[in-house]
Amino acid sequence: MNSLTDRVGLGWRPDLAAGILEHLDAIDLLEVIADDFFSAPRGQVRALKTLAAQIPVVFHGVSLGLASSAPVETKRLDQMARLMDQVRPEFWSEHLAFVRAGGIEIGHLAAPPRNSSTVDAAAANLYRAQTAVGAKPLVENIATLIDPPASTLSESAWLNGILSASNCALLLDLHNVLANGLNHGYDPLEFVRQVPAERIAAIHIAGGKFISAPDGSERLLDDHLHDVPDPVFALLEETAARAPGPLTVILERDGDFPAMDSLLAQVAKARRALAKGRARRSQPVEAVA
Amino acid sequence: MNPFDLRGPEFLVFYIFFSWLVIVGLTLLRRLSENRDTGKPPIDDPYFVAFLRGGEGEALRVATLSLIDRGLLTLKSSGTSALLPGSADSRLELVDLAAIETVKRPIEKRILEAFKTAQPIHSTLASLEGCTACFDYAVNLEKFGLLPDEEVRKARLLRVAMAIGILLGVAAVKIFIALSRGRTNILFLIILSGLAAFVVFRTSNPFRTVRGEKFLEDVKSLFSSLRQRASSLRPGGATSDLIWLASAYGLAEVSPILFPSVIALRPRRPPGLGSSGSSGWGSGNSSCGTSSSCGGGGGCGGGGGCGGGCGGCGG
Repeated sequence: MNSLTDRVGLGWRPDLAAGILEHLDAIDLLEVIADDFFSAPRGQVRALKTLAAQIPVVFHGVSLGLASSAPVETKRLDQMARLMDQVRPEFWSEHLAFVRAGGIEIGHLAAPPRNSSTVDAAAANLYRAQTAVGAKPLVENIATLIDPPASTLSESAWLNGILSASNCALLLDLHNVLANGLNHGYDPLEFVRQVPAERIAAIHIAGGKFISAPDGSERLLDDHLHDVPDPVFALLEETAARAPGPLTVILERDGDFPAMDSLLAQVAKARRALAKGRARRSQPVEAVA
Repeated sequence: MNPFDLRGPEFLVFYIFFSWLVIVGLTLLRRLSENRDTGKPPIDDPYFVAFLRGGEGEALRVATLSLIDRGLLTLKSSGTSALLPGSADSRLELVDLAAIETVKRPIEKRILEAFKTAQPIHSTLASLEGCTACFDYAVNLEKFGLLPDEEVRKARLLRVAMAIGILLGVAAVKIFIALSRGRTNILFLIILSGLAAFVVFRTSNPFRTVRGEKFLEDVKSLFSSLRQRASSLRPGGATSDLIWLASAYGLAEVSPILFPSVIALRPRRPPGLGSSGSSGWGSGNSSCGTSSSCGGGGGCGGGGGCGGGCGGCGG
């Protein structure tokens, strides 16, 4: 019998500290933005270690730019390695995006052209990251409002190429899947089915809002400022039905914070979606209640 | 060079330096001995943190503020005098008897019971010091090595006795030598040695252990965002932000405009002085915890009880 344990947690945001620490019994783990601590004073890193003593912590990076055609900066990898060594999270993850080019910081996660050369560049960066940090990151698909120019591969083919070349696990952001699907005219559910299920180790769920595009059409913006919409929970159920391994689900909320009860209700809803998906699998599974 | 051969002024300079070395050494010894890993203290109870920061009186005040904010206690008085610190009119009363059964933390339950009828705030809260709920916090804080337990207090006492012995011993030897050489200008050395002993005494027994200090700093760091948002917290118990702000940083950080009742709760003396967790021997509230004075958690009956007993802890 193959037993596995899925977990659902929250992204650690200082504004949510009180609510999170009062409800540790309802949250399985926390995801911390590692970059916030790269240059933090020693006391703040020690506080993070104290937090990690309360509840399992995983790291999430936002500034490495792993899918850049340029090599990822050694300094940032060293900072990540040092922080990993100090806090010892369960795993770390980073986006398949580029965040700087030609010495200019974009200040945003940008989608690179989806072609074989960026697959190779991302694989090389992931190898550098693994070597420097000592552990492979989980890689995350990003949302993009425009289809990257000079792309020759579909998003799923590009993603699969990088996963295959790097042998990394996937952090599947389901709201990004939903947003890209709606914005670029493909079926998000079909995208989830095209991703290698055995690679999926973690999932992001979040909310966004529709904005008007210059041509008058509507686009879904992944702003992390709204509640998780129902289609994301449907994607979560589908992912849970397909993924053979244990899943770590993180609810991301970056601002306009609702009452803690509302966030916990979304955590509970994610658990239900996971349980429903697992129930569809033939193998017996055990989900955290 | 024998320092005891130094002339009076030079010896005084030497003695000041020597005293500084003794104090530094004492502090280093304390840091080394009180930084042991004794488990992972929880950060899920704000009153645990409030007790660590300011003693049991502070934990009681923070809990009372939370109960007022949640509408379970109400200030009873006319005009604004109830909001004046230490005002004779500052009385609190339970809004609904049923609330006693709805609160989950024993310290809150105990406070609600004490204010079943309108009671003056400060004297009633003082009478609760040493009650079972507070005792449990003290026991846990000592268990996790955040407040000094009996063993740590004994070790501190031993070290400070040795340090004072050394300081006074050196002074005594010099005084003896000076007197044997017919010199009687020893007053400054007597004053200086007394002063050094006093400084050693005052600095060697802080309320928290070194581990406790670090843990409190960590909690403050985790809640630093609350302090920045203090002026925009929502009253009415909708979130636990207020209670964590008061626990980690103190009632002084709570906006009296948003939470007027905090004025009536502010201590007459700042926490860290006197009975609410001060430095100095036996003055820490933690000593009310596992030491014998409070009767091992027997608790306080009806608002009288253990408060006076804990005075025996040095409070």
